[in-house]
Amino acid sequence: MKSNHNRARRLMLAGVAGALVASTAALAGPDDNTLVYGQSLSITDIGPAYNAFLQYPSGYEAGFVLFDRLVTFDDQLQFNPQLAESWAIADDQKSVTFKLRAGATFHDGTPINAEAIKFNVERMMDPEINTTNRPLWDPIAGADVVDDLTVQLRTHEPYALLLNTLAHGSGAILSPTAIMENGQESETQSPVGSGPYKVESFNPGLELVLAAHDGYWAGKPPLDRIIFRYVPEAATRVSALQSGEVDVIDGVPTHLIAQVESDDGLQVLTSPSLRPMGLAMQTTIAPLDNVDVRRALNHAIPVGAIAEKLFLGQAKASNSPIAFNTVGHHGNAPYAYDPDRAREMLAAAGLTDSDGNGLVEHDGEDLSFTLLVPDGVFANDVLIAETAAAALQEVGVGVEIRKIERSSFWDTLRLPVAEAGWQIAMFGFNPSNASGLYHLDSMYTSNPDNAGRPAVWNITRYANEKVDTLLNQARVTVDGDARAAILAEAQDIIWNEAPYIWLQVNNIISAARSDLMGVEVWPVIFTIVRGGHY
Amino acid sequence: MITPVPAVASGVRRGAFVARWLRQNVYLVAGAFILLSFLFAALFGEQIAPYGADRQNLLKALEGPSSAHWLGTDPLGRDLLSRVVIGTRHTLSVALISVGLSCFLGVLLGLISGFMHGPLATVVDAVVDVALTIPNMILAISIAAVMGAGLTGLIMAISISFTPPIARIVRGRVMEIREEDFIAAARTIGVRSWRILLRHVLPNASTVIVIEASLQAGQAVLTATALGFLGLGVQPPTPEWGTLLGSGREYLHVAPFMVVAPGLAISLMVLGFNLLGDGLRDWLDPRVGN
Repeated sequence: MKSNHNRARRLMLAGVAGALVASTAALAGPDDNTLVYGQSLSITDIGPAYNAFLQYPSGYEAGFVLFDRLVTFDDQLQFNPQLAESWAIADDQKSVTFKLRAGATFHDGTPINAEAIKFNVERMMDPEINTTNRPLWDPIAGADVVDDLTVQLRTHEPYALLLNTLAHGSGAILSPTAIMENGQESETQSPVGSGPYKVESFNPGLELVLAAHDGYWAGKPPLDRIIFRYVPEAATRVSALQSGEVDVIDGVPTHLIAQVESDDGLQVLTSPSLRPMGLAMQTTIAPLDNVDVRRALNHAIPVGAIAEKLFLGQAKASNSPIAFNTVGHHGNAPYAYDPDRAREMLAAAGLTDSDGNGLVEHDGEDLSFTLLVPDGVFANDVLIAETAAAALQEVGVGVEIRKIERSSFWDTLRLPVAEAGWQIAMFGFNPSNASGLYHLDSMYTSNPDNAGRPAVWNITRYANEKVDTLLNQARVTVDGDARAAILAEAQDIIWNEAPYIWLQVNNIISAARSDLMGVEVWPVIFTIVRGGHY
Repeated sequence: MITPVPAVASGVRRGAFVARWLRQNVYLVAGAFILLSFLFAALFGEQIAPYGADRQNLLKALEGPSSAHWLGTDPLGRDLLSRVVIGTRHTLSVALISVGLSCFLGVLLGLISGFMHGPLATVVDAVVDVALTIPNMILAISIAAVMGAGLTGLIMAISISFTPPIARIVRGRVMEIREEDFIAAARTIGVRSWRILLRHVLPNASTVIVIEASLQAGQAVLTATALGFLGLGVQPPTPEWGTLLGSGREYLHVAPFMVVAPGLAISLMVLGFNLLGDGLRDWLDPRVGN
């Protein structure tokens, strides 16, 4: 009897295997005046300093709701006043005077005045506190209180991108009272902000609940609550949106767009992004230190097919180190997909397959790289890695894919060369102030210590004196056209020296209930729910 | 009067015996047949699969089942049938190696705690007890998460999490055998403990071990594929079944066939191991009456 019972049970287990397909239990639906945003990445830190809004971009997206800045972008990346009503640039271009809005207060009732702005600016200038985003804040020399509602920001040199910095997420204005009382690091878990919604509860990694700030200067916000909820699986996000469990989602995979579009109650929100994807190569490791080898690998990957087939046309092959819509973009001749040419170029660089096993040899050993890729941080990341691995194999370069968990991805990217354990890594930088100069500066200015952790995001350890000089020059060039010309020259050099295998720029695809208005998708890959209302 | 038995009759009698044995052991036969087929696929996957496991063709991405691709294609245009067939090797070897390891460890611990007296046995017993309170799957997930994605991590995770149940079963059987007269007899004539263990206890416990191992193998397939499904399995582009099933999940709405092939393969292999285990028990274990 017992034996038969056990048998039946175990045979049923076999059936369970087929039913492993995941489904998350539907949670209670939101009440009418709440917006629930199902995010593809979780929020663990909410404040501009220290780790600066982790994870990326989910933390920044919350920051844009929780905090006001002096100025803001719109979805066309034009500047609009926020806490500053107006501003005036000095004749020598080295200071800007901001006139603040009267009557604005923080969530704790502290008035937002020139002192508060000075406090925040000086905090972000401190490298001990603001550990990331250094290129944005290093050019700033200080802040002076002129009167209660007037503040002047000084820069070391004329700094053309001051407004971009202030509109960036790290320009968030926090309550000085709260920071003095609760400590500098209190902001990462319980910040007191200045935006239309304030923190009600925060469960790091799972859910952030914001409630309307009734004393907001522009009047009571339209929603009672905005909830940021982590929904890691793309298919689950789409189902959650369809079932009404959430009202907005990001990271809609291209193959599910049709499903969202066919639903009358839903709308697709897209925008071309400013994040060009690529495969970063460690340019200090042989044979990747050879420009010709890096160029050869660029000819080996079918980027056009990836954009067309994997992204169903929602992507374009890059033609510059910065994206098409980034300020200062200058296009170059793309690397044509040509495996034969790649093989010839590798052979010319001394990499040939002499033992006929399909892999070229370098220093007598088969050439093989470890390709680092996250699982679900970038659209189609693992699939692109598999395509690239097969394509490189095709020209005789072995690739071992190392897929790592999303939360440890960013840190692994920035490990010192000797500890990194990868030679090629998937990466895309998002210039979240929309500036091409910031983008190039963050990724290609040479590192002070090339073997250690990169100063910013120069994970390829690319170093070119000419590029350094050009970027320095661009930083102090206020005239837009002149700056664009300098940046164009830098882009040409970087494109041709190929520290990356350049891939695609794909659209950002979010979706929302169709009766939800005011949600914006910014080209800087953020989905902004701040203005959402029904 | 003696009538010589015709040769034909002996053949018939033998045939009848075989037929009866087959009838009585239908589970065993079915399980063995399924597993032998998988073993064949594991050994000759590349030869029998219609395409290479990593042969991509973006122009044929996400195509449904057709005469060219019996089980359809994945988002990179790879043939799913070929990936499942070639992937047999990974799942089968993970299952067999990890069950082998956990049997070795479990038998060792079971013998110690069942046969010995003293502090070592008490400690082993306590450790096994504690490990048994942690659900198998949770233990495996934790170990795999610490070890990171990869074959070694996967095998370690399954082996370690499967050891306690085997240790417990072996312990029980050993404690039974320990009380038998022939063990007492061996002791009286001065046979050393380790010799008694190897020559007398272990052979008598082997039936239990073999049956348990075959049943555990089915569980190991489930655990391995579940870890793969959760992204803790092998690295891409290895066509491991759980990973294939996991990557199909995102395409459930547009390409449901992506989960059919690996899902069926997993179910069949687990079924095979369970049938084999049950069959072995019916055949070998005298306590289960036929």
